[in-house]
Amino acid sequence: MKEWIKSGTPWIWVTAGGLAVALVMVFGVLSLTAARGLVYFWPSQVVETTFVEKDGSKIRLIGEIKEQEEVAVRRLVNSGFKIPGDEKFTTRYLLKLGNRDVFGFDFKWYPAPLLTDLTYPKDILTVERREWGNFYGHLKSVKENGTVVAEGAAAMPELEKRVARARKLFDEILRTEKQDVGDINYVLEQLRLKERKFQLEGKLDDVAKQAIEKQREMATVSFAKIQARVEKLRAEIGRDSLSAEVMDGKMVDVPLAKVSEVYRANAMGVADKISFYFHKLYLFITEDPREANTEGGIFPAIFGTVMMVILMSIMVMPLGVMAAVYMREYAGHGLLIRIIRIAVNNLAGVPSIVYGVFGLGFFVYFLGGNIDQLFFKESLPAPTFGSPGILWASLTLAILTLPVVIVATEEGLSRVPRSLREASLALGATKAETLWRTVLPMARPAMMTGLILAVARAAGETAPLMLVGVVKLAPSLPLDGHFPYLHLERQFMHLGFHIYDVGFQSPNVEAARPLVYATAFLLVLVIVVLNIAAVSLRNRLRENYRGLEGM
Amino acid sequence: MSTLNMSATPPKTHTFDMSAALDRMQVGGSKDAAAPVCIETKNLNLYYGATQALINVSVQIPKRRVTAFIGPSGCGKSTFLRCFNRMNDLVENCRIEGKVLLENDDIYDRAVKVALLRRRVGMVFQKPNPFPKSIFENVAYGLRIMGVNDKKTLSETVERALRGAALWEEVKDRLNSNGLSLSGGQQQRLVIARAIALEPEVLLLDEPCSALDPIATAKVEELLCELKDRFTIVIVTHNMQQAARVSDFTAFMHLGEMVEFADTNMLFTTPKMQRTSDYITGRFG
Amino acid sequence: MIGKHILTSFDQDMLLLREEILYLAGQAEKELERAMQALLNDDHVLAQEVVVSDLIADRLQQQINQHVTIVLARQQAMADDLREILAAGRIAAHLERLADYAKNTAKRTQVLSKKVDAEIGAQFSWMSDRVGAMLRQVMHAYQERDADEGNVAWSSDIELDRIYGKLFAHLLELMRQDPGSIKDATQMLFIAKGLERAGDHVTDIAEEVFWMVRGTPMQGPRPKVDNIAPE
Repeated sequence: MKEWIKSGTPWIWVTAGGLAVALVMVFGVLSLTAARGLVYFWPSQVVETTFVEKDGSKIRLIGEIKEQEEVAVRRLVNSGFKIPGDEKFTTRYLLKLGNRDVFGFDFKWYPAPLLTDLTYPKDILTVERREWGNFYGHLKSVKENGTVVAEGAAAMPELEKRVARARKLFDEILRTEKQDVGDINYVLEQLRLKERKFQLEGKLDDVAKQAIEKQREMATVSFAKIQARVEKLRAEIGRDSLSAEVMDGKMVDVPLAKVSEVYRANAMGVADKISFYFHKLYLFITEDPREANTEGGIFPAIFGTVMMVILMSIMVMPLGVMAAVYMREYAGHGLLIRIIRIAVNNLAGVPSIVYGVFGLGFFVYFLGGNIDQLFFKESLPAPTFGSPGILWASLTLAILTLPVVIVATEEGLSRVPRSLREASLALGATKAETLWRTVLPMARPAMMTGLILAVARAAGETAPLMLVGVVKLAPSLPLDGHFPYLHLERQFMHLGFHIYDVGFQSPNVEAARPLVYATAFLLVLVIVVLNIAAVSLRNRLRENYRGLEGM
Repeated sequence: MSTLNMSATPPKTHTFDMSAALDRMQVGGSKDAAAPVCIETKNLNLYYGATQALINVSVQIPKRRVTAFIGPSGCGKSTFLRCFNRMNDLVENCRIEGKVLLENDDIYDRAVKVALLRRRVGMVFQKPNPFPKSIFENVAYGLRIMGVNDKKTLSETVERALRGAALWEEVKDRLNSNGLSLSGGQQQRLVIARAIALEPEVLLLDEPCSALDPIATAKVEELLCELKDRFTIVIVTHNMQQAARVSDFTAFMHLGEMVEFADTNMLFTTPKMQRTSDYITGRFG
Repeated sequence: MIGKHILTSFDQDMLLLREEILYLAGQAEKELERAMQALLNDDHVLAQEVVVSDLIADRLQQQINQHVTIVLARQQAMADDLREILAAGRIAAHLERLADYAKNTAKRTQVLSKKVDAEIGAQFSWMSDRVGAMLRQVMHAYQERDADEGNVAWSSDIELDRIYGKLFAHLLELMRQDPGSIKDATQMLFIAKGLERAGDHVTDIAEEVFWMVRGTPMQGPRPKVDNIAPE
């Protein structure tokens, strides 16, 4: 035994075991998130069953089974359910009943023994709506302007056709409202600001006033035209509706304007389901959220996260590299520089929420406030830069990740062999030229390392962002078609915050939970992609410096 | 009556330069007087903090000749060499007293721009240190620093420098490959090419062959003999035989002092100082 | 010469030594010829020139010595090169002795009372030719690095010894018959001895050449005729 310990083999097991544990944990988390999240997009079966109420009456239930759990019979009995049999434990199902506008609730638990005749009728229709969540029912007819145009077997194909049309119209309306109306609003806002500016400067004379008025009129005319078009579209989209029987037997009309998707979940084959799945996945990534972030896509959050990481990188890299260059190349070796170095290293340990508070106080209120006073007087009292926005958020995170970049760059600089610096100096280069032409290029892999670490740290930070720029629902992206194209004062959406918001702040927590997992998985994926890009870039840079080991 | 080529004056075959050979065999005398002075030091004293590394060194380095500094480890020869291009400025606590004159210009004068000085005095180090760039960029480095960026000028100068360093034929087809992909001897010649691309007046070499094998060493030595037509060459070497082979003048240093400075033939056959004799015969320590 | 040395200076230094040796050999050959000519024609002016020219040979030998020292110190010659440099020094010494014998012959010529008679003159002439031929042959061997040719020169010294023996006996006879000729005859004895010694030196050069090329000394004693006391 002693021999075995001495030979060093146990250490191989111990170290490998440690690595294995770490890997298991990482992959465990990833697969849990993936499994729970990606399931969300798979179209699930809709069950139709009969339930025995507490008072003995029977009702029909139509919905999706979302979860099931073991529960003590005694608890059920205590809450009034009459459970037959002697079993101590039984299961209960969480049913998503949808039709929140009709019944007032969405999810409900039902004890299994009290559910009878579980069937999966093929003709049950699932309707995904833009308001009030899902709708389940039996399709009876399709109506146009109130009159039935198809029913029975012909109803479904007709419905699908009209839903497609309604979706196209909806997209058109959305685009018009967002872009065209947005353009007009932008023009009007600019005019207002111009007027205010003139006012402040005392230049608002009649000539200027008239010019502005004229432009305003032109804008208003365009707006009226757009309005008219939108009205027309709305009228068109409001033409169709479907009529279906819900679980309690009532007939409900659902206007197609509110419908985003219809499908017969129980009737879909595997191929259908797969294509449906990828379609939903695609929408998830590209669409805007709706229904208080509990449904729809998360594109703005992805965009906001990536944009913020890019801005942060642009700000932290020059700052960090310059600081590292000074500390390593130009500063002496005295007490002061050692204190500074300790301070920089300790900066990495400051809790991120503290950075958030600092960002809020210094960047948003102090700097932003002053910038507003100096450059955006005409917008006041509405703040431009004096309120949280993507610029301040990126800046706050840049300061948070600064120590990491500095340390990594410093290390890279110290690994550049002295002989190369001497060679450059001996050829008549100044210290600055040597740095720029020889030392810094050689430290590029280390700088990339610093960037990778910074991105990894910052992409996941949420707490500080809540104070300095992230918002639940942003009306527009920070990047759009209006000058100056990049609006740094705007607030943005962020994947990390989105997870928090959907998981804890949404009105319908049960519906949103799979979304939380899906978003978390996506966040990890985004970080992994960013990291892989940076690592491959670093590897390519490293290729050039092979053969330098001997120096 | 003789049937061989033995006449009153020996024949000159076209590959044999007798006058140069006879020049090389000269001991003392006219060779000393002929060469003008390139670098001169007057009472040079150098201190690292409290330690004195060079003690009252006065020497005249002749122009367009090879001068070698020999001596045991720690005698100060590398330190002395680095005074000529002010590389000692990079060492903290380094203090100089006395004068160092390059073509009668005091190089430690306040007004002197060190970067410009180093273009006039090039240096090759012990371990070959080409930059991790292409061969072309290595040689062009000094020129780019000077602001020369015209492609044609650079190409011509790079070719000239590589030819001068006897490396052109070996690398002319792969100027864009990494400088580090060359062998040790080639790297050192690349470094020499890099230095001579700036057309310096003086070329300093600090033990340039210590990291090279004998063949590569011999090639570098042959190169130095060719280069001395254009540059003043000062070489520090711990290899006495190398100094004997390559140099026209040799200086022996010991414990920071310049013990003897003479033309190589004289120093190695009839040295004047006992310390010199002890060192070169191996009776040291 | 095998291949070009990496250091041009080394090749040039070796070539210089060779040229100097060949030049010294040429000088020695020339002076031996001129001394013999002066002897046969009783030309005292020519003899004086020969005496003075010996300085050139002396100086050349010193120069070669100096150069050998320098080349040994500066170039770390090995193997063939090392032997060649060392051989050069020794060959130069032998060649200088040859030039010395020429000088001595010339000096003795100046002291002779009358011209030598035809028969003795012929023998002297033959010996001198012989030495000249041997010298040329051995210097050719040196130039071509040919050990075998050197060998030939070496073994032909025996002829020279035989003629010397004959001349010695002849001169002894002359002295017995005519005591008045003893003064001249003694000088002629010394001249003859000088020529015989010159032949020995040439064979010594041949041995050096052999050693220089092969790296081992020549084997066996030289074929010799014992001439200490010929009859």
